Amino acid sequence: VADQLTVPRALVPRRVHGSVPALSRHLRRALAIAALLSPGVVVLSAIPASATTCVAGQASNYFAGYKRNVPTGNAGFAGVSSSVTIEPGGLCSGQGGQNNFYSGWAMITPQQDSGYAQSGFNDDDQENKFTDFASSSSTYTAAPVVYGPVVSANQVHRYWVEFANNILYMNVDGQVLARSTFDPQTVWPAPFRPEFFDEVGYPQNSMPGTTANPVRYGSIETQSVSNGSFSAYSTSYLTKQVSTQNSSWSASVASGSEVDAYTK
Amino acid sequence: VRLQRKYLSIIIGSLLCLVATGCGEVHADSSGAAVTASPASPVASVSPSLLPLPQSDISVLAQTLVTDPGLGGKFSPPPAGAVPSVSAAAAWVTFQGLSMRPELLGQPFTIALADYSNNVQGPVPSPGAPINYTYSAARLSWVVFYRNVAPPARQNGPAGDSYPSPDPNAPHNCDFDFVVDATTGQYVTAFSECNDALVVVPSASASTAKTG
Repeated sequence: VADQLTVPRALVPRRVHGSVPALSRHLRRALAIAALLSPGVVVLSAIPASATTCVAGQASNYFAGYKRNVPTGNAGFAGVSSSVTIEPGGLCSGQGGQNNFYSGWAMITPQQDSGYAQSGFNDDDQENKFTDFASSSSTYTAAPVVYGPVVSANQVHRYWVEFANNILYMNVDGQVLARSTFDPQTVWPAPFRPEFFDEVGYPQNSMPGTTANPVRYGSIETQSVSNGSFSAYSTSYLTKQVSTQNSSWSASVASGSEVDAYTK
Repeated sequence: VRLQRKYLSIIIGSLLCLVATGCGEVHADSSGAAVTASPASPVASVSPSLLPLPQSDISVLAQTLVTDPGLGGKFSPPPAGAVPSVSAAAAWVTFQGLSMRPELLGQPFTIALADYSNNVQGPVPSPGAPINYTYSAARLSWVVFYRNVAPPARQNGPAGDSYPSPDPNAPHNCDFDFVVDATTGQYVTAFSECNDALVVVPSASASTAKTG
């Protein structure tokens, strides 16, 4: 748009106040309690205590869940959907920074992982819905992210990515939180692949969910590119993938339309 | 040019601050009821256990900003004379309480009074319905703006991909915007964008801002 001016660093008056040390976990917990006093804000009622320390240099991306590795047959996926039972994970302590997180999500991604669109929950101390997307793998780290309403443990929310109007809508329940700015059917190499994963940023993190209360990716559906409709997708087509850096991370099939991810 | 814009923004923001809200004279107690505090107070009182909010960090948005079109956010200068029901300090408490980006606490920020609207978020459209580029009604909001910060938790990308740890010494170029309803005090939404995704919309065309 010609009349727009890119001046991202002069958006608002910027002032620097004194350097303040990072909040301790105790203080963050106190702040979470304070948030309870705010009307309409829901936070986790319990957060697992940190048992381990984040190891510098081990920050990365670790996964436990299921995906369709090499789509065959009816591979014309356009979108993906799952009703996810949210459970907390565990954060490590120390120098975790922005990589000290756990999350769970549903995603549609093209071949060679050359892009993605996802919807799910994310946590630093509380869990909140998020969606983000990238048109290509080169933009992963710069992908725009939107944070939606706060959610809490044991809730079930439908996280889904819908293809319509030649774009992708990233939805939570009945609400759109974001939309792609490109047509995946022309930008991404087909066939697309559905994925359902827990994710953490350190080997010392606990994947959200436990054996008794896993993160359940239920009502798994894929959207047909030919007619736009969502229909159940058999978990028999999905392949388990669990990062091996922590032997407590796990995933399993719960039923023909449900998979679980958790920390044993 | 960037510095000129920055200082012009500061000047305009300060003037608008004086005109519109009295620069932090309006505060609220925990119930959200507006109360008046001394403008001479250097620090907005929040809670002994929370980080304080210096008055110098409070401003009024002077330019219309739009997010990445895929996120649909738009921040505009509030109407002259707009008075929030809750204080910037209360919004700051909400931000800290949610701990959405706790690693940002202690870094430079600005909290600005703004009109917030969005042309993406809303009910899922019916199949086949045309894309709706109409912005929602403006909502008077306090917006916590962070600039030049690290990316958010790197949950981005398909399973199996791994990314190296970020270089702590590398310059960061991400923005984080946290929106609190200035009438109810409730958290609304937040955005994270990198690589200079936010753009400034000239005031003359603010009403017809970027729609994708």
